[in-house]
Amino acid sequence: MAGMTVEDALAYLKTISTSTGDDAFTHISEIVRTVLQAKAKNAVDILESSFLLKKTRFVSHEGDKPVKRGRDPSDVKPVKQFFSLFCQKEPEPAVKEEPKNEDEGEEEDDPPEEPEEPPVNEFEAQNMLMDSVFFDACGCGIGRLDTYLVILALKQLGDDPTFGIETVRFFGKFLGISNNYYVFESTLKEGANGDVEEEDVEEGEEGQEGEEKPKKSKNWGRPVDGIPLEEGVGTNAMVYWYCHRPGDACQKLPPVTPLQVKTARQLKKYLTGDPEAEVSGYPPFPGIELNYLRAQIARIAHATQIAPAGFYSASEDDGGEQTVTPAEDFTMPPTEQLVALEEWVHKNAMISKQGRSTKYEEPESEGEDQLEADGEEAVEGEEGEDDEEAQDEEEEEEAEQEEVPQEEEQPGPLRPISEDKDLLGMEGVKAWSICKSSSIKGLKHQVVCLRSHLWPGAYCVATPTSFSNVYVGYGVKNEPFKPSMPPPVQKEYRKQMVEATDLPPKPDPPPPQDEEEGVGDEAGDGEEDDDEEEY
Amino acid sequence: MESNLTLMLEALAGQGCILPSEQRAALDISLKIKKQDAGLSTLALWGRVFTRTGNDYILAEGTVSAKRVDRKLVFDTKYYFTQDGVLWLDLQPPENDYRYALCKSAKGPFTGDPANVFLVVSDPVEPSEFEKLVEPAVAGDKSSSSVTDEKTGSEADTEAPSESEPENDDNDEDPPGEPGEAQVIPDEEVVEGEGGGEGGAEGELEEIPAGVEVPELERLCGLMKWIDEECGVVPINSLVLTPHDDLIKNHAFTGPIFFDELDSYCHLFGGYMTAPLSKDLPGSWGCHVIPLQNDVIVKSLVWPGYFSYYSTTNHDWGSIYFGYGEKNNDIGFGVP
Repeated sequence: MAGMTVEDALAYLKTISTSTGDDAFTHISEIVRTVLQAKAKNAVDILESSFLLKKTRFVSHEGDKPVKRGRDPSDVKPVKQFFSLFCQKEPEPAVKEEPKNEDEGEEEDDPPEEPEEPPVNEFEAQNMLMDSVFFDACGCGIGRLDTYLVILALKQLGDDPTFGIETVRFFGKFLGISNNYYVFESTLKEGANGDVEEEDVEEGEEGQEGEEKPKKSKNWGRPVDGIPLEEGVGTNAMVYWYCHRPGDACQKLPPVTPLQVKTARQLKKYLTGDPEAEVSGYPPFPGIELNYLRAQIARIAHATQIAPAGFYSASEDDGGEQTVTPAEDFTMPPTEQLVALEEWVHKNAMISKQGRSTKYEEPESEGEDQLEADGEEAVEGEEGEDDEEAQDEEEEEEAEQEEVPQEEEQPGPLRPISEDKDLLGMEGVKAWSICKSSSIKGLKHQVVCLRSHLWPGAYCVATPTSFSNVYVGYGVKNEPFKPSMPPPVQKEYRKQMVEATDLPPKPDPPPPQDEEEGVGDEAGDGEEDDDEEEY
Repeated sequence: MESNLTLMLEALAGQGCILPSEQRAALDISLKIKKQDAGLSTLALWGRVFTRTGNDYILAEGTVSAKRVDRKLVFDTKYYFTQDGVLWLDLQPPENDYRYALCKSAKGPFTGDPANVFLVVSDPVEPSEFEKLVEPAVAGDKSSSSVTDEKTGSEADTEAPSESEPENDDNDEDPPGEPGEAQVIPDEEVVEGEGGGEGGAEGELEEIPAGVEVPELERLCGLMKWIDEECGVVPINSLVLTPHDDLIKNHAFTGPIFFDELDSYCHLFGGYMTAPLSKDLPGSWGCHVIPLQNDVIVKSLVWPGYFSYYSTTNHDWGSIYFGYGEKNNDIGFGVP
């Protein structure tokens, strides 16, 4: 302090701070002025807190900005969806007609401007309100508030007459990096199909990957597969819909193809939240994120949808396909019984290495080599190690004509979950764990919760009256991930290069050298093509 | 740092962070009781770790103090766990870096039994770090043996491999994790080939360790510390240093201006203002704004199950971990 003059000191205090644009001098003088004006008793305490506020860069913006009236442009759509979700008209001055009161499920879905009122679709929905209480009791699901929005979304989805939904259920929520997916599982009425275009998979080229299909730009550069998808059964028995938030218009997810399932097994990707995003990885995924989501849904549904033993009864169709239907005379066992793994069975069959839950046989006319190609495909599918292959319980035995080197056993539906293999790489860790809603012994009316370790986020809760499955997670399987190696480097072409004989005959040899030069000089720049031809 | 429990659980419920109703009902009160009993300045719910058997752990973290010492932020944190939501029990953090590294190497889900002990084979280390760890890595199943050692009281054997002792003077108490002392034991137990004064198999790099015992609770605490260091997300400027170098909650916090940018959030235990999330491995964080509710959720993809939220309406923030306690090492494949 000694060497500083008053001017120096003032100049120093007046240096402007680079981040906030004010300086110490102004601030100190403000404080001194405030303290003198306030004449408070505890001036010292005010002083300290004032410095603290300064340090936090607290600048009060209250009263600065004018408050806008009306909607932010980015909020317009969510607001509209919110009101439509709750079946109310938006309170806007622009609306010409007066808002009507709506009864539940009686009114039309279309905006009031339409004179016609198409009939509301009759459908069955899951009793989510009841389920949400049980989910909460066990510590799973998405919470009561969000679940209520999902309930309304279920209604909105089911009401829509164009979709033609017969039954609908909330499958689960997939968390993505920048956006989430709410997925609904449904069955459709006869003859109904959504209005989303589907990606067709071309038959014909078996096992060839990277085949270009100029027919549809969507499929360009993506691998195609000869094994056709299962229509309406197995992995495509249910139709799935998704939306980003309850209230959004639901989009239908296309059916899943076996190649998509097989490839999804070899990838470990997170969903970005944009359904049109590319799923980049090796092996190349035949589709966009929409398809990847669908493939994960298929895997999760087939691995983690469970039901108490006896709830479903399997029946054989004419085509040898098994369908499960709820049994008529079924009563839920008491809670004490439900806590045993043996009491629970898988609802769906396992997805085979082929990528389908029912085996696809090549038509016989293809011949033996095609069948071998199939076998090879099945072997290749092993790269992505997953323990969806149980060695027991062959419920579906079809007369196998082809001798595939690795006979794949096809576990059918309704196998008890106690026989699920332990997690790969970890002994003793069962695929399922059971817990109850309360740790207090003897508490009546508890809820039993089964939790999957293979697919973290898959839960099933049960009470003596009902049970319910849900999935909330990233869509990633809990298994050690082994990335696929790229294919071996292709060998050089070894054969002798032979000139083709079917090309047009050789042109005449060029004229002698001197003439050519003369011609070239004269021609100059204008006749370059002549020169080229001569060469 | 303490956050509003109700708001946080409500904001993050949509991500799957649900506590069972019974535990949730007990939590508000039990946290308060524990805070008073332990004399903490803050006590917050840290998260829930799922276990193999269904007896999940609910974890809480409290701070006694958070100070700036020599340009670094030093936190005195206490860790607690409960399985029923009512009674909170202490968790001891791992004593030294070696134990901490062991906790990190443990694989597999937790069992839900607090008395469980894991046998951990430490991860292979870089050659440069090998010297520090060469004795412990080779000590084998020392914990079980060290118990018997204490019982028989065979102090006489300690002099035999005395040449190996000098390197490990630091920890002279006798926890099972003490490398130097344990050096003795294989010699004593393995009568066959080794013999006494060989100094253990110090030079034998090929010997595969049978596994070190790590109690489940220690691993749990190590996990909390690990996730705190790697995550521990707070919005910038949400905490502030007092003139006494204490870090306290900023009561004048009005929130980051660009709340949907990763720049606005930082690692509290990793350097605070100097460690924004945007400097992390690209793609390891996802930021999601919920329209109309204006809640921002920051998700970690390296630790799936870790969420941090910030509410623009009431400037509240918090973070939580709901998961199995396993880090996602395949992050490189997973991000677009």
